[in-house]
Amino acid sequence: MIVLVLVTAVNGVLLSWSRLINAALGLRVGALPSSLINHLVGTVVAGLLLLVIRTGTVRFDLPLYYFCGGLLGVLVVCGWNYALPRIGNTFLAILVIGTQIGGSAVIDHFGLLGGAAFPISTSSITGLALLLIGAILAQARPQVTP
Amino acid sequence: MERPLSIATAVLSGFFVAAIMRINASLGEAIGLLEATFVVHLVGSIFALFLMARRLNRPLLRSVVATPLPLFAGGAIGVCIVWVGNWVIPKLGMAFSTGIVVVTTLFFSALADHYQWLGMPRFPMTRRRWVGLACAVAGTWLIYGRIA
Repeated sequence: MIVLVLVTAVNGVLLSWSRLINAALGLRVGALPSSLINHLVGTVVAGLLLLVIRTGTVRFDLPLYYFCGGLLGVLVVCGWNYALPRIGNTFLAILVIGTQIGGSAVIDHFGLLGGAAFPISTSSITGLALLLIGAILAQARPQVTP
Repeated sequence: MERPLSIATAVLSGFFVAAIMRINASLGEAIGLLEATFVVHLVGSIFALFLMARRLNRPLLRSVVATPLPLFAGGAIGVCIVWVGNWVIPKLGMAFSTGIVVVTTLFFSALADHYQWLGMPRFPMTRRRWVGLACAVAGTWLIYGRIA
């Protein structure tokens, strides 16, 4: 368990780095082209790795939505690109984190989208609320000191 | 009209972010972790190409060619993120994984602001921010209690 938690935390650090790199790339070429570049690079890297390691067998007798993760990811980039200049960075981040937390709890509780159910208890609802409050408090940037 | 539409877009995209993580993990369980990572990026490439087919012009290509190489690393890091996510999410569940990732990213941006990483303007730590980080850690700990 502790290994899984640590690996997930490292993944969070990687996510922070990739967001910074994507923001820099997006400033140069635009949000959608930067998403295209990232997906192309990712396809090549994962494809090269697949030549060396195999971790399963590809099959297509699965529900169609199983193959829509990449498509939805691009849509999310388009959505943020639209909303960011209109509502600002902080508000956008809070709305996204809030619905992401709520959405993940709903998916867990009912075992949606092909996953096993992780029933949500009263204490974990308290935990989800605390997490959101914490994210809101830590988001707000203090004034710049001269 | 643009503001409500932007808020609706942001709300919907948050649900999508959660859904994407679970969908990719389910695909990973079905066809293999790395195979799923490949499919996710391939489908994303095709869809993004479709959306911007008309905007593939010379100025854009010039700006891509002029981009420093390190800025292309995001895609490689993305492979690692999706691969690891596909591995841990079926074991930890969505809520706990999301909690850990949110806590880590909050700490990362707090450190980046305080120590002025990457030449960004400096935002020193405040008590409010410490309280926020503590709340987020406590919240994730409570979500963990459900699994333990």
